[in-house]
Amino acid sequence: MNLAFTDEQNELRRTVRDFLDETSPETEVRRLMATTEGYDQSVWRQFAGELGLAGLAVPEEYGGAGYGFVELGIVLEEAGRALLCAPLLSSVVLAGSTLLGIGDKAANADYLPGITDGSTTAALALAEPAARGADPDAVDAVRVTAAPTAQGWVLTGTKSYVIDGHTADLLLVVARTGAGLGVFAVDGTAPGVTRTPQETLDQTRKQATITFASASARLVGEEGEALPALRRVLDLATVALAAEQVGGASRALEQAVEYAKIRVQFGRPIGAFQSIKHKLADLHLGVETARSAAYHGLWAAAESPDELPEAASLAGGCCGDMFVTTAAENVQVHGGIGFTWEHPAHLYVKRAHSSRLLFGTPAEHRQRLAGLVLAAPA
Amino acid sequence: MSNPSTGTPDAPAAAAAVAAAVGPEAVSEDRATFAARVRAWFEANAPRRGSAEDFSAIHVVSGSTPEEFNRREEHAIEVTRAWQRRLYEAGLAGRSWPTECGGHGAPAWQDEVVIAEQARFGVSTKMFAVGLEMTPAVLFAHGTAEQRAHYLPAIVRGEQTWCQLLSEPGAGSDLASVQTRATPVEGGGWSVSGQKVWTSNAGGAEYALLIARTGTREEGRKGLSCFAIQVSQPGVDVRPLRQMSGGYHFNEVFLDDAFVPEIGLIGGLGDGWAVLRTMLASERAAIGGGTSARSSTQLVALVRELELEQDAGVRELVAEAVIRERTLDLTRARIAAGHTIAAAGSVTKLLYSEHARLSADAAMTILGLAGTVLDDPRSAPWIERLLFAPGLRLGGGTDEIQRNAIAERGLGLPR
Repeated sequence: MNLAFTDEQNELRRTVRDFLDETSPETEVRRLMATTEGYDQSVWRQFAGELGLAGLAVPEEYGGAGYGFVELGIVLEEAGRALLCAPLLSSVVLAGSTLLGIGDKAANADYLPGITDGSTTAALALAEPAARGADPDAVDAVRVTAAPTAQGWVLTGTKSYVIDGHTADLLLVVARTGAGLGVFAVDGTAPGVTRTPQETLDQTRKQATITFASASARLVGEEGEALPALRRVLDLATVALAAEQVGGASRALEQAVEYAKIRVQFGRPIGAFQSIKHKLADLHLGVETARSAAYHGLWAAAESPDELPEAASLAGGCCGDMFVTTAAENVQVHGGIGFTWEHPAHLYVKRAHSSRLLFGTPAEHRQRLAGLVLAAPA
Repeated sequence: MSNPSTGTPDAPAAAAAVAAAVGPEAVSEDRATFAARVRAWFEANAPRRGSAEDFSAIHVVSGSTPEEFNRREEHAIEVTRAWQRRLYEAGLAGRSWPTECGGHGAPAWQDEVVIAEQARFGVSTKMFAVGLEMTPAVLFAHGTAEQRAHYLPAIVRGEQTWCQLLSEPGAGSDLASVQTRATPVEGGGWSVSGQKVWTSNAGGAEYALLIARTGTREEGRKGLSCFAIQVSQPGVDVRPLRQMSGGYHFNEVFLDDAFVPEIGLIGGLGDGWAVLRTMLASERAAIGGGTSARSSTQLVALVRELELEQDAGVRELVAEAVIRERTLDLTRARIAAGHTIAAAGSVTKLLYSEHARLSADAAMTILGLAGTVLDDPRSAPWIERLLFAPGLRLGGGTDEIQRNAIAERGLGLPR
């Protein structure tokens, strides 16, 4: 296992941070979170098209750069710091990984180049209104059905919590057929598709409910064989989200440290009090250990598929809780000002709480991790 | 396979492997070639982790009576000495040290490769951590070439063990309050008198790194100097301390007109605080940088033995231990790979002590009533760890001192 970054990877991080400093400052995050779309199309085109950041983990034959998840993870960590409002998690991580995981060459050739250059955005519709989590093993929870007709497949049912589902050009929908689970591609604007934005706790990441009423769909891959690919997609999403969470937590900790140095009470900067020092030291431990787990997860995603499930649950089992704690303590260190709408601290609190629930809670990941470790040969 | 307790190769093949480890050309080898050769040598010469010959935890010595403790300590020193000697003969010890110090003048990364490989096997040189890690850190930063050539060759050959004489009854976390006094002796050298405490491995050590007062009490840290002192001399009295487990590991050391020759002053007179800071940083790194106690593996074995694999509460405890241990190991790997982590030494030391404490705590919960008795083979090792863990939170700088260091030196908060 090699956790060292190459010069090229360090350069990538600097490029992304510079770009986001310019295009995604807090003012822009606040402007976009108040819009229905939730992101800026021209910035996304630049991000994907000019900088090539959406195609880092996409093979060159589909217009990507042919790198892997470590590079994508660097981008996600920086995006998490900046609370970037963009279809990075939805289109690149979830939809991109689903297409690559299923490996339908025709579908890949049709969809991946557009996702990669930013001209198309895509979303993965997996969870349904009654779902508690996005767990593909809860096969029974998938109620959306796909039926074959003379004109092809048609979908019926409702998906919910679909990240960027209201704006995506392409929907990848997990649906049930007689043979089991399949992934179906649906044009977001097709007849029979009704999309309703949900009011999200984390306004910087939009979600939608989507109802399908005999909507035309294209089967991606083989009927009934989506489950193994979906399991891997959720592991990849877990480590990708872990990187994003580490980026967000790092920024929240920086804010708390900066404030503790300048806020004076009782005649001293509050950072001179040991109660504040020890709190911030503990957050530093949490952020760095979570970062180690996230980087290891990215490495496993890129280099060691057999180790991915355990590595994903290692990262999933600590990064989400760590981000929630760090974001909450950032408010606490700031005191009253941290409780206001004007201060950015609440944006990280909401991102932290929302993202912790997306792909299995940390407690669920810990149960899975323990299961994997206890079942492994001694 | 060699027998680590004697250091005698069992078969000619093993002897050949020692000779073949690395030669003079290794100094300029690329990392991959060097690492492959080192790994091959360890494969052929070191016991596996978890095997019957595994001695990776031998440095955690304690005994239920002073006599048992002394016996075990002597045994641990013998085993470590034999292993260090093999490393030395194989050309793997002190890779980056100058040749006149018993080393090979190789780039520093070669030491990292040897340490990383060593961590994969059931071996340890942690019993000699003061000599192999802290004394060289201090001598390379503050010592003279003459001192390095004088002290280091015997250490690298595994012939001498060292300990630290730092804390005193009135100077725990506040080491600037040290009162042990070193006074110049006519004809050269110093006479040292005072009382030190919480000294690991003092009974078997030939030498110690000592902090003593050479100036006035009012001078505080400016009145301190650092010395290398011979422990095996009249005037140095080592007495084992009974600790909360009922066993023995630490010592009190009474110094009464003990002698330090001229060459023993490390750094200038009154420079002891700067030397101490180097020493404590290397100590934190040595503690936090050690191999994990692998307590999560032992916790997994316990859960299997008790057939509690399906208990959700138990699974949560196991997962938490696994996460603590793996993220500590991964954080160490990041540090070795060149990642910048603020106050890295304090971070790993604190993670290590927390892991030890929380894992023993988890094991007690998992044991249930069996954890209330010492005469159950399932609970005995965990109770020993449980009652040793508080010491890990204190030694090498308390948890609170580490948090201060992280906040002040790592995060830049005001003092």
